[in-house]
Amino acid sequence: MRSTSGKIFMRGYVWTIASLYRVAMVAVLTAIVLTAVAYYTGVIYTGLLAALLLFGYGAAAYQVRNSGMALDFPGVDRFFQRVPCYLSIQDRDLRIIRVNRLFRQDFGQRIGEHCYKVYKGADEACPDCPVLKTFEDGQTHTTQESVITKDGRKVEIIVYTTPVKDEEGVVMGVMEMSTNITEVKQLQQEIEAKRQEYQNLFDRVPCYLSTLDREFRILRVNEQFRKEFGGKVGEFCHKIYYGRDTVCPDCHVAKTFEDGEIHSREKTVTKPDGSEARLIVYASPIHDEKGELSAVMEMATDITEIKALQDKLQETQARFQQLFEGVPCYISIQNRDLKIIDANQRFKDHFGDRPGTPCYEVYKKRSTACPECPVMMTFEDGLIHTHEEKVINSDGSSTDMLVQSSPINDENGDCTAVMEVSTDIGEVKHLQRELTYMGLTVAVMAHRIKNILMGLEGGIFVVNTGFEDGDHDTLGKGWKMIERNVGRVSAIVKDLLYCSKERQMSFELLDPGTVLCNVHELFHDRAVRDGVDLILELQNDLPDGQFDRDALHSLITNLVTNAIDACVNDSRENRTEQHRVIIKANIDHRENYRFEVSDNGPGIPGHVGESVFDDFFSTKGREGTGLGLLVANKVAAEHAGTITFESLENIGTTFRAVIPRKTAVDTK
Amino acid sequence: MSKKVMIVDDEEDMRIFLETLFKKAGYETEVAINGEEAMRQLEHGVPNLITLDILMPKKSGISFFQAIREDEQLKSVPVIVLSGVTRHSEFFGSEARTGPTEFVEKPVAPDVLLSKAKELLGE
Repeated sequence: MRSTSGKIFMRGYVWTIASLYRVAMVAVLTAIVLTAVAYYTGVIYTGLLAALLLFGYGAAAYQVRNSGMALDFPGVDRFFQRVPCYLSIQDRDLRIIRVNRLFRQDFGQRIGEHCYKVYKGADEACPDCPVLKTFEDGQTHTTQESVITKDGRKVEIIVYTTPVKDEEGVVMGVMEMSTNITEVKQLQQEIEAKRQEYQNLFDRVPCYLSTLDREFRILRVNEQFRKEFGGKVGEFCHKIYYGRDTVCPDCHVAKTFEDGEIHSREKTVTKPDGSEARLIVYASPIHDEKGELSAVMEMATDITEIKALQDKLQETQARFQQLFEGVPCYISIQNRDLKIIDANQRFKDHFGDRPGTPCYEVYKKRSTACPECPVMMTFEDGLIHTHEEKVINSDGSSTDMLVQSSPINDENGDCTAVMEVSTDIGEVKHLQRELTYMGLTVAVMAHRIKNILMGLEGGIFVVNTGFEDGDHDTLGKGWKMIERNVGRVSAIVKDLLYCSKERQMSFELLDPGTVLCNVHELFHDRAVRDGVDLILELQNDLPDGQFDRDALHSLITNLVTNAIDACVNDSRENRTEQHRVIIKANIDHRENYRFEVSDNGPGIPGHVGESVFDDFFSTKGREGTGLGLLVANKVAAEHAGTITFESLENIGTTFRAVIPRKTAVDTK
Repeated sequence: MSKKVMIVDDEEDMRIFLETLFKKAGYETEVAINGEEAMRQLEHGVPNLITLDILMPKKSGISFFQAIREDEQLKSVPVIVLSGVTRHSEFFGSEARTGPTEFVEKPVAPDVLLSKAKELLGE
């Protein structure tokens, strides 16, 4: 290598032409002197002189080296070789004149080649070459480069260039020190990628994210926050959310700063557009590299819609509950064991609050499920079923109910419970009975009236025949027919009037036994004629009470008429017992009169409920008007009483009027 | 020999009326107060016409009618079913078509009833 100033670096020494000349001259002169000495003095003196000269040259070389020009000292060279970075020294032509071991390892012993060729495979110097800059200004320069090793690896290096100067300060060469930062670069790239990823996440997560410092100032926000509240970094969070100038009381961010724990709460904030949003907010601590709590991240999710739905659900539930409790019918919900799991207040008031009890126990007083239970049917087929039932109230009385059972399904559509809705149809049934009575009464009455008309028509015919034939006997028969039927017409009209209007009751304190005796006497002959034993059984000490005498008489008369008719119309061929009608009167321990008329007629078929009245109305009572039970019911009601009956087929029937006793003291 | 009319009715007034009517028209009459009694009387002779009430004790008019229509000897006897029950013909089944039968609803004018009877008797 030859320097531009004529200096050569060789074996650790900087050689110039002058220095080479000086060395050559010294060597020649030394040779001449030594030859002369040897010619004139002999070998011994020549040897001594050679040794002295060698010593002198060595000291001079030492001084040269110490002047900084010599690099060929073992310690420096060891350091140069072993330093853990690429070291190379370039001359002004950018040729490599010296390299260290690491350089050689990765780039090869490329002495004499251009550095740009070695590093980059380029044919010319790099733009902004730091080596050239150092040669120009004698200063240290640094840069980052990507270079290619001899085995084709790309390596990232940071390069420092340092001038190497001679004793005159002239830059003789530039040392290039390069540190492999490939791994650092990779880490940097990875960190950058992660940072980007985090940034994306931070920005795009569908909730409001913000980080706050200890003064509750916003350090950073995500896209969602920026969109809704503005990118107000540096502002106080309480200002943004609430327009407050001070920290919110019970602030969850403050708590997190205090204890380093995650805190949450729900809050309602006002957006810049004036709308309100309900948020659920979490504050979580952020620690720095020293592990100290430096910031808090606040994550807020807008639950406005969810809250609105929740509120609506609550409202609906409340409304449903109100409906459930307030609807004017009895509602219960049963599980598959028919146990009551819920009931509305009306139900509880009426039947008692007995959750977990089977429904048939609660309002049927049964120990087993009812036959044809509508609830069980609904469990089986998942359909609505309707049934009329007679239920037993908690006070022991009974009520007619229309019951509808409907399924309650879970999310899979399986029927898990049944709702039973029961409506009191007692009034309706009463009206139905009344209408049935009326309908049947009208039908029976029509039948009777037809018979009466036929009787009158027939009577007139017979009278006319009697007149035509001059037959007094026939005349008499006809006239009696007319009389009888006119009487029947009169009785029907009277009964109709009795039923149709509010008759003025005429109460008096009387012994009801006397009325019964009177009826017994009235029907005695007829009963004998019809082959019926008419028996009177009165309680001995039957007390007096307030009665409308005629009404009571009418009530007992109607019941006795029906009973005798039942015996007369008994078509059972295998009957052996004498027909019997018993009229009874007594008073029970609750001071209720019980007037009973029993017969041992055919009885009423047990499966027919209300149509017992059909049977009665469909039989032809000779003396009755067809309004018998209607009248009897009315009389009993006017005395604040009721009429019931019991009947067994082939055994007989008992009608019972129960009338509370009233004395002169507590008249109606 | 005059034709005989059997009157089956538990109502006295009806029996008096029908007896007077048919006797005046020249028919013989016999009466029964219910279906059971009527069956017993039929054992002694078959009438030319039967007038029959429905609602009677001890064998109703319907069961009596069924019995006579199932009887070979009696099934062709004309019957006037006379009742105040509305649409009483509906209570009778196919047996009503097996013999000459007339359904008459009360009240009925005497001459109308007589006319129907003569019709059934082929007069």
